[in-house]
Amino acid sequence: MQKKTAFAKRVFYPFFNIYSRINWLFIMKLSVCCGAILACSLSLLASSKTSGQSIGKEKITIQVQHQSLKAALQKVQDQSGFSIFYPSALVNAYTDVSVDNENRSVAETLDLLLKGTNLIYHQDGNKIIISQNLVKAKEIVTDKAIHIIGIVRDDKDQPIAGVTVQSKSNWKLSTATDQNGHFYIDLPSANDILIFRFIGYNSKEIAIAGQTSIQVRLETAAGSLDEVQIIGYGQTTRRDNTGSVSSITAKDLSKETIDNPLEGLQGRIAGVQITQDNGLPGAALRVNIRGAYDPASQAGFIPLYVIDGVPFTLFNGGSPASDNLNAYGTDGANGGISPFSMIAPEDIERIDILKDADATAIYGSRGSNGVVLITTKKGAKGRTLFNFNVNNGIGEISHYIPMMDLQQYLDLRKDAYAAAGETPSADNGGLDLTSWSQTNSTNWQKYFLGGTAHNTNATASISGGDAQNDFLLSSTYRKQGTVFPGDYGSNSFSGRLNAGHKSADNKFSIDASVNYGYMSTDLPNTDLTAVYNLPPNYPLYNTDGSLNWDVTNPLSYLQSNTTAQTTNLIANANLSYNVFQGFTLRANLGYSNTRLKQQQEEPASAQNPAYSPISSLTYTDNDNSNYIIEPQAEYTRQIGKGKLDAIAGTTFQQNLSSGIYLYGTGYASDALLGSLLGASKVVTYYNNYSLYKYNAFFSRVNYNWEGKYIIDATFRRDGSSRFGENHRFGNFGAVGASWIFTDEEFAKNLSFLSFGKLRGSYGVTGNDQIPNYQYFSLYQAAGSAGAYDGYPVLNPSNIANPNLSWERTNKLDAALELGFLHDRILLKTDYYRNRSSNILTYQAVPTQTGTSSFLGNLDATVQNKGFEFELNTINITNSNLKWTTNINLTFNRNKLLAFPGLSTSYYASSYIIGQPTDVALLYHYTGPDPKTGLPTFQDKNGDGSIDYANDRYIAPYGHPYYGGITNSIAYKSFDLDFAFQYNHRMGYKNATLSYAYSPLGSSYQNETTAILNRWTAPGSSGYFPAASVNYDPSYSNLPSSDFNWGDASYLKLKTVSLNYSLPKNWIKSAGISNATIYLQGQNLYTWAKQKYVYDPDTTVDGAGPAPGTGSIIAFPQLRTIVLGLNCTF
Amino acid sequence: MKLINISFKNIFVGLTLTAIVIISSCKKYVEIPVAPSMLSNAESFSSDSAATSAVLSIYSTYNTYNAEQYFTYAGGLAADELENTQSNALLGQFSKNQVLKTNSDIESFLWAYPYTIIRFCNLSISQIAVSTGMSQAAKNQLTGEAKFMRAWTFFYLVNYFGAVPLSLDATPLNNGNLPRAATTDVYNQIIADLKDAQSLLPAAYAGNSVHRSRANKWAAAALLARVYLYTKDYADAKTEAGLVINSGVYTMPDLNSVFINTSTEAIFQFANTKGISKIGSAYRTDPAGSTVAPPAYVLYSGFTKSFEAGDNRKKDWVDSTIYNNITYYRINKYKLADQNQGTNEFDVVLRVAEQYLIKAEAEAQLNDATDAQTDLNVVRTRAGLPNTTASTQETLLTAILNERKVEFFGEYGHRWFDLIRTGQADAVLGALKTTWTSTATLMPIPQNEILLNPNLTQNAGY
Repeated sequence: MQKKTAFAKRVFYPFFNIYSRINWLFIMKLSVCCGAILACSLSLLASSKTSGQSIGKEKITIQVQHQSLKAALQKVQDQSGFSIFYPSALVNAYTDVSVDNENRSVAETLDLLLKGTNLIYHQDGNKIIISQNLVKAKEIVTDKAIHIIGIVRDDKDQPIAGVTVQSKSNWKLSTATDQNGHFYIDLPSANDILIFRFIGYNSKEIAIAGQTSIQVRLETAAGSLDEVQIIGYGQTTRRDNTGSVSSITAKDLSKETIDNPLEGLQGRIAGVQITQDNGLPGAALRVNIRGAYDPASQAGFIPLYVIDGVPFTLFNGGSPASDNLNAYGTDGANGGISPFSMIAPEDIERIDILKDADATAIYGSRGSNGVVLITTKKGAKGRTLFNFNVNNGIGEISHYIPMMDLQQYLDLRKDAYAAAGETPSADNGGLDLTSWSQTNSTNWQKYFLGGTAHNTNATASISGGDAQNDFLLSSTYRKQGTVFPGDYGSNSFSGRLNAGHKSADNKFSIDASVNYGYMSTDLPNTDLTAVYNLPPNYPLYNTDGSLNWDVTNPLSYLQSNTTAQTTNLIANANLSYNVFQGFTLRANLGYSNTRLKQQQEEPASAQNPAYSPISSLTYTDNDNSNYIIEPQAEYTRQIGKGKLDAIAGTTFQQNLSSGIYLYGTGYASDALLGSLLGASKVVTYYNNYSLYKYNAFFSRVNYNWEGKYIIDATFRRDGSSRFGENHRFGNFGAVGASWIFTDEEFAKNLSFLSFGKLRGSYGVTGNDQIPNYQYFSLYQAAGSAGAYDGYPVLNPSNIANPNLSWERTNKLDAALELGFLHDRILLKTDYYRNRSSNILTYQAVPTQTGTSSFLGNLDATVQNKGFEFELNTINITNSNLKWTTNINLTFNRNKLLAFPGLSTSYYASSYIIGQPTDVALLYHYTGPDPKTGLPTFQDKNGDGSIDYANDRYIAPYGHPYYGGITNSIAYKSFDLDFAFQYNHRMGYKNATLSYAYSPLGSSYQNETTAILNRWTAPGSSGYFPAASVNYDPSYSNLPSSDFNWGDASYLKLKTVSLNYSLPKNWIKSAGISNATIYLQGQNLYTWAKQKYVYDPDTTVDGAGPAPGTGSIIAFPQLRTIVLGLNCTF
Repeated sequence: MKLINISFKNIFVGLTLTAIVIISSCKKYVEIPVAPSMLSNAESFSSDSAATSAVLSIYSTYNTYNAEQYFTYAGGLAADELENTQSNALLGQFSKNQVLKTNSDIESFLWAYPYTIIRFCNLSISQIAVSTGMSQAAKNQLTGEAKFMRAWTFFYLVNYFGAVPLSLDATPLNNGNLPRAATTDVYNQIIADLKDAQSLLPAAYAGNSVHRSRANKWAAAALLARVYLYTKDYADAKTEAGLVINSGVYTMPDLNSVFINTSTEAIFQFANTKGISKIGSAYRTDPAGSTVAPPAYVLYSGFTKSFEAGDNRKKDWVDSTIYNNITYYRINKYKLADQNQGTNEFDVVLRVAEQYLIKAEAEAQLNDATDAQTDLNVVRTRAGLPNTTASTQETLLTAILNERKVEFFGEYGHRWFDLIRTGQADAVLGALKTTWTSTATLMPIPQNEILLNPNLTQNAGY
């Protein structure tokens, strides 16, 4: 017990508290002579090289017993490596100091040593400067009105503009620093205290003590509460934020072996569910923020992505809504192609995900699905840094579907024929029992998917800057292989230049970036995971050596391939000009262009010759360009005790996507398939063109009262070209407020509680992700495929709905954020309730109108509500070991609240009021008939027949939740990170069966080992129905029964990363400042209830009721292991 | 440098302020032009050529939706004409004459798609009427074609379902709650449209000069003749059929040249882009042989017994394939299964042989046995058969009915409608199919349509 307490004392030592105790301030009165000398020497020292070590973090162990302070300081200098400068006269005055023998930070040690003296210290690079505490020395000052001038700088000596400077005694007295960090203020009392506050920096209080000139240095906030968080059109801190925002940073991303930055968010962000279609290079991901995906709505659920201010949601008006680059192109084995496959994760500084109304309403009609803000890395002021990061590794499939072996398969098939009373023969589909080998068996999964993918990744960057300019130039090359036989895979290259410039007077600044990416992929047309259920004795070749086509020959998959070349350019500039104190004009200008070319070859030799196949080439070329112009004005002013921050601006955005889809046939030779010129007939299937224009006025007012009470109001008036004249413009907005109650007097006594914030927001956002031109009637050219007898055709394209308008989502968010033990434990709990109404959907009308439906706003309400938890803890921290844990957990419930006319609508059989919109109505499977082995179902209403209307019940939905756990352990030079992702839900227990319709064993199709548990003879206790080659109507109910429904939860060991930093003294001689060797593993192991799928985490778009709950067999995310080296010069 | 800097800043400030001020003009900004591949309704009918393309959508949509094929399959299966070889549950309901009101083939192919075509026709007719950019000749031509196609579509709706809603309003949603119009009203609308079409359309075929892929005056007359026959207006039926026969445009070619895209017998054909009849390819699978499954549709068992000895149609229009020891009789009117074999077949919708048989039947009904025999013999002669021996009204009508069976099998539901309109469905089909019920002569109104439009009533027996 005693030991435990001691351990806890040591382990839970209030880490952050160190910062508050250290007097970081450099206080100086110029009129004091020694101070002036010190200032000169300091400015000299400041230009020397900084070591990057912090006296708050560097640990030493010294013992001093009744020795002189000078001797003690010598010990500190020897152990810590910091050079200590001090005025000897002052230090020599103290001859008897003591410190016991314990491991402490340098700062802690100095605190103890200087306790009771009138000396203070501060760190400057690798120097520690001891000086006289002038404030204390001048404790008694004549109280009189005083005029103070000063300058506020950051820890890199750069002036900070806009710092709030406020009198502690009279909050009405306040000002802010100008562009050069200067301020002046008149105070009635020379004994007042000034408070300095600025985003991203620790606030400081400075006793004036008669000084008339003050230099203030603000320390960049290191605690996660005060780190800058990016929000729409601005930035804040986690402490001050009134909205719900979750973030990850480059540090988190660097631990993962990923080719798409969105993959790095999987399992790391509360309220965000991300599913990848498959694990092949370039594959699309679907991001679902707080249940934005709703099957009842036809509007898309794609979040608004913004990269450095430029929207990157490449939705091109297709239906169903998708931002896949090939939405109008063709599909290879990797299916949809994610635009983010073009963004190198290495270039990303941070990703902030905005979730509630307060955070998203400033994006108005585009914000209802949440907003993902991506900020790329920038150059830092200081020495020119050269960094390279290379890794090489392998990938493989970590889990194969357990299939029956040859004998078990043959037994199944024999049972099937026996049950039907038939004798297998060539004529009744029994080749596997009569003609194929009864002994030679192939493991098809190993044969076609058992390879090893080789991956190489290399990033190099140069960055640097001075007071006026900064730049970062980086370049990434990535090569990804596949596990398929043959040389498939992708190569990508990206280059980025970020540069910033500030005018000499700091009034004008520009940050600009240009990013260019290129990716080429070469993949089969078909995802080879389809081979899993081939009969084990299926012969690939006939005896004469030709391909066997008794079933689709999988070797043909290797002859038809899709190649794709993607290029991506993103350029943007953020300009700002400070017109006068507190008033800044800004403009974001951005342009992006993404182009995807695909060639899909389908040679006749890869098709069954029995159907007189022809060779064809599909050629697609799709292009998406996007520009945005956003002039803004920002006004900041102290009003009363608080700071008012107002921003107003306007957005002009255009998205133009165009594409062509050509299909060539009539090739003289398959060798010509690479070119359309070889085709004698070329048909234009699409020549897609989609123009979207968007215009808005937006504004936000934020008022921050002493960092304690913060209110935030946003308003946006939006116009979207997707709506008719009457409904083109809409108003959106939100209000949010937060109260940091730990700053109140009553909370000061709650010593365990270091931070407490209540916040809430309410507002409305919109969704306009629908096809263009739906509000008026059009004729559309039908193209050469639709020509009539050689004449061009114009087809009526839609039923006009001039009343089409936004889908609206009202978002309510209430949150409690707590910090315990000096913020070593941070807990954020959000309750949210999103109600979507005016739902954009295809409304059913009687087809005697000439159409079955038209796109309209449905007067239904769908609710998503849930809880999100984010827990960050520092479990252990001492000089050698630091262990932190981040846990996130989300519960989301979807519910249809209202749907007038549901019973007569299209959706009468799909939805139930009060139930989730992905409700599953299933028959209850009561096992095989003991006599016949046919499936039986519960006759709920007891009328003697099983019917669709009366005998299904609401399948148990369970209590779905999802989340992740990330642990980071730093021990000396080692860093170990590991992350789990989990998902609990009900769903299909065996993905290979979810669409089972025909009896087991009725065709050339192997089954999973689960099927060994089937009815075989009267009295058999098997769970699954009997095998048979005869179809029986009772099977038709099987897919819509609960025979395959149950717990489909999984836990995935997503990431393990081990870094080792090479000792500094080894690498110094090579001019290397930092070198790390790392070993990373991705998707290492999955514990899944459902074993009959490669990866429960990948699912094809539209295959399941919701993202992450799909049931189609898709290519898994590979288990990848890489070894890498990261060096900085 | 400094100067440039300042002026750049000034420009920037100016631009930003200007941009903020011009918010008032943003209404214009979000007005977008239509895509280059699109035209507004008005633009689509602002010139003769654009309007022609818009009206051609009526023909091409039939083919792309596969709707016209189901006019053939549904009736063929329901009658004693076709069988489906693919144990398709939905098609099985047609074969058993026990079609469920939830049958999605009924809903899509026999109800929804035809009404879509009607929407296209209504839109064209109304837009042409208000067009200012079109010539009168084109207005006449295209209105005539749209009205012909509307009539042709309503003809199938009224014959498959009986009373159906008369959706004529050019604003689609206005037709949503219409009740079923009486059968006579539907026929009156069909006749009115066809008379208009007949007077508006020229005798010459528009479009491709060698194909008959668009309706002309004689197509309107031919369909009008059929409608008069079905409504028992025999005098008018005879007149209209006579007009077509005597037009001098149509001949009775060799049996193997009837179903090609240059057929001299064809009055109206649906063109298709591949040059392969979709209906024809459903009747064929190639290569023939025991290892290849039979085509989707084959002749009803015993159908070949309807051919008289020596009938060349059995030789030229029927062949057989054996699969799993079962002999299937295939319809061999269309010869092409895929493009490797040729590209010259269009679906023949109206052909002059029908006009001879309409005229013969009308004459028989009008007790003009001699003329009836003459017209009937035109068809028999082409088939290599001797002149008919039937001479009384009754025997002639029976002979004509059987002649129609062996002439039009696999074509647009003729047999099904013949059995119903002559009142012989119960006798003929009742004898063949144990599952026959006399209410099966009309298809059920799709259940979903009644749910969506409560003004609709269901047919008896469903």
